[in-house]
Amino acid sequence: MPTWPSASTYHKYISRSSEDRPCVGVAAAARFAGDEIARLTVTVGATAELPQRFDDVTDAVHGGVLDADTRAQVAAAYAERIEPISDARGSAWYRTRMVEVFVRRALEDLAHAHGVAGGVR
Amino acid sequence: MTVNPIGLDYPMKDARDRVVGTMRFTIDHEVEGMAHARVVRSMVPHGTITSIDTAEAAAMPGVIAVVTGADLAADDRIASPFFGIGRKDQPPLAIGKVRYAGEPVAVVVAETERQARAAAETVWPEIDETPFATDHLEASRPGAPVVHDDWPDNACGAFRLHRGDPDAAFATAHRVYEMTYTTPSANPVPLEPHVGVAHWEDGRLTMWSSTQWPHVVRNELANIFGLEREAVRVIAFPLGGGFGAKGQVKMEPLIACAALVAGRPVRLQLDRDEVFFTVAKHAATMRFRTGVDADGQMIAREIELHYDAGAYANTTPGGMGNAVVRSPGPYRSPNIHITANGWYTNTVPTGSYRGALTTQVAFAYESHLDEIAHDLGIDPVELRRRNLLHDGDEYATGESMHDVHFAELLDDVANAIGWGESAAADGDPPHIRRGRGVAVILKSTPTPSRSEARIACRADGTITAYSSGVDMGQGLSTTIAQLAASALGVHPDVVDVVDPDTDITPYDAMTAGSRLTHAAGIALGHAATDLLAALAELAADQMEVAVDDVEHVDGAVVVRGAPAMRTSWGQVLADAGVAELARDGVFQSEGGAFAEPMDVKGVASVHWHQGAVAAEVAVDIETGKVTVERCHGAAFAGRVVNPTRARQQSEGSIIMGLGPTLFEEYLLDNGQLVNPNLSDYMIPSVLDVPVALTSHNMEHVDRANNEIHGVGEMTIPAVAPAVANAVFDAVGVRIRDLPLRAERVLRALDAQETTDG
Repeated sequence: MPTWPSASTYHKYISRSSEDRPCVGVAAAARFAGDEIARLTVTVGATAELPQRFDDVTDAVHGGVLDADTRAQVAAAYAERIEPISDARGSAWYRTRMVEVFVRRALEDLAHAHGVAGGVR
Repeated sequence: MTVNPIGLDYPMKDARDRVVGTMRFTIDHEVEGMAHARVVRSMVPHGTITSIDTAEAAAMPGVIAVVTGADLAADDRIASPFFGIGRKDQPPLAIGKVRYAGEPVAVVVAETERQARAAAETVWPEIDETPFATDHLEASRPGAPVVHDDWPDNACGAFRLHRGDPDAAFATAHRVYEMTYTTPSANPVPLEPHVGVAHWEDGRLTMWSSTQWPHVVRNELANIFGLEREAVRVIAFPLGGGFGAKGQVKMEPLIACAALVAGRPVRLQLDRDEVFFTVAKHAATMRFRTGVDADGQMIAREIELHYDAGAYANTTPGGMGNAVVRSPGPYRSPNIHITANGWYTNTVPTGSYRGALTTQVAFAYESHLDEIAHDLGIDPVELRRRNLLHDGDEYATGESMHDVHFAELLDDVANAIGWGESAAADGDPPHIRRGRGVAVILKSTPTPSRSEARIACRADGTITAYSSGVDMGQGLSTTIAQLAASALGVHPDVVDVVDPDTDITPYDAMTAGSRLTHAAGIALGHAATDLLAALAELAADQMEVAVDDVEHVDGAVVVRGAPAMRTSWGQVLADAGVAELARDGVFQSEGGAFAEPMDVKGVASVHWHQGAVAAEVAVDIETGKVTVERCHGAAFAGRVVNPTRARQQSEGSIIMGLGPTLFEEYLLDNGQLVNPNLSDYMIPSVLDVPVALTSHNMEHVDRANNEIHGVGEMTIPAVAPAVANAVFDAVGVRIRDLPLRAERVLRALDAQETTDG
């Protein structure tokens, strides 16, 4: 039995000094069966009151390939679903944008680690 | 023969104490019988005090006194409960009304700091809130809330400079550009907070304070209490950082008043949030209008500056003159009109911030020039070269510029950053764009100003230098030892340096404006010359030779041509029955440009500070985040006293400058400062330091000690414009408002896309 996950990553995006708390944090993990996504979870922290995870969004791509379109689809869905806070690290508008950027970059890491056809970006 | 120590990396005299933790700062100072103070602060930005209930606090354990502004106003031992450099408008505790959120309204004195804190929490001022203004442009408009009844238009200083015929020159200009730039408020964030101990004995006040201006503090305290200056003694240990935060007068009047009322020595140490409530950098709005000819020469300029004074005047009224003379930058300005106005607002009172009043205008004029260069299609370095001041040029003030090295500094930083070569780096991901920018700045040093120094030589062989210059981490005490040793021809090890103490060390205007190495160097030189002459006279008598035949070698006198006839200075004094021989020296700069505030002209600076910075940035176009990858600074030092410490000044200035460039700013919500802590207010960390950070302190090694320039703040004003110009070079967006927050850059990129699309 392969252990869960086969690839994982964490992106800590700091918008100000290196000592700042994150503006957005994204943890992502995946298990692949061949080129197919067997399981995918994405958790976004530092953006709302609580860490945010939308399993329905990631479940929807199980069985697919983690290609650029899929990555963009998941990233856009997270950006759409999260209601971010506003503070000195970024407004809600900005955090929404950063959620999309960093979910996408996290998924690129997973795809890259697995060697998904077409590579990263 | 002792080698001249100027230009040598002589180690800081207190280096070991600093490293092992035995260095003594004001924060460590205790006095027997000392009580502790805690300040109660206003929660509202503007309002009338209707009552302050102190009864509960007064009854709490250990409480000695609870003092309000009304108590100070009624105390006949206090001649005038107001202080301030520009205007005496600031009470130690609010009297009648509060003018900013965070203003002291009461002070509790108790046996322990914990008791004082507990009691302070029970003091509740009742304040009738009134409309407030936290924006200086809003405060400048008719009908704005009035911060001080004595200044109903909120005016806090106004200066004007007019030279040539700007209107006529604008009319002939090839092109005219007009842009407005803003910079926010910030805090100097010294590691050591403001701290002091006041002790009254027999009508005499001794104040230990973390201050950069001990003699000014003494004079202000004497004024408040109606005392002769000699009845006040101010002692300043080395500071755990100043950067301007400990300039002028800060908490000393409050501590001294608390000690007077409590009848005990009183110590007050501010918490970090209180440092933010005590002093802020001036926020500024700056409109620059420039007319150029076809070659890009700036033939007409109009500069309109508005500075936020905060709730109390402090240096702002006079400081607006400095803002005027620093705003043209290092450029020929034959036709120019400048106005600078300070405005009271309901915000933290302003004061010095390293590169005071200059970091604002430098961001504006160096961004502006870059914008003009790009529009004209002229290389930004080349456009600067065409406009820079050279020796003999007349500045906007009408003074003839001398010892000017702007072109060399510009070339130095441009070469160091690889100007003209592609900034793109192999291996960058596609969302990273690189760019480079440069900036050149000038800054005046306080003129006229005065520094005195004393050197004493004793029969026991010791030598001591006395100056009221404050060591705040820059290593000034070691610099003084080097300068005195150089003038005396001895090794710096044999020169002791006394910490500032107004009873002992002679007058010095301030440790600010990058002036001490220059000013104290000259004063020490005069003192040494007179001291050597006096020693020679004594020795000549003793040796029965002519004074002209006496020479000084390594702390001894020898007879010219007869080196065996050698007597140490200590022995000369012992033989003469003189325990101590001391001589004073004075630096007094002449000039001044501010006699007529509406007609600034004349010698604004005894010499002009000169600096330049080049930066390379990487901009993430998906997040807007700017990373400064490389930075090089250059300053003109005249003569470098200590290469390592001079380099640390230039590179430390750059690191400090990155904060307000990228993320430092006071954030207000409904008149309240919402980030007065180092979790929500960011300063650069070691990871924010550019991977490549270098500097060059330009000098002429044959210079005498009286031609040394300060280097404390030559690069900091150039950091923000160099970085902003590099961002433009990288991604083509122009940010005219600091800081260059990631979100701000991303919004600009979005707007650019919309415009281009």
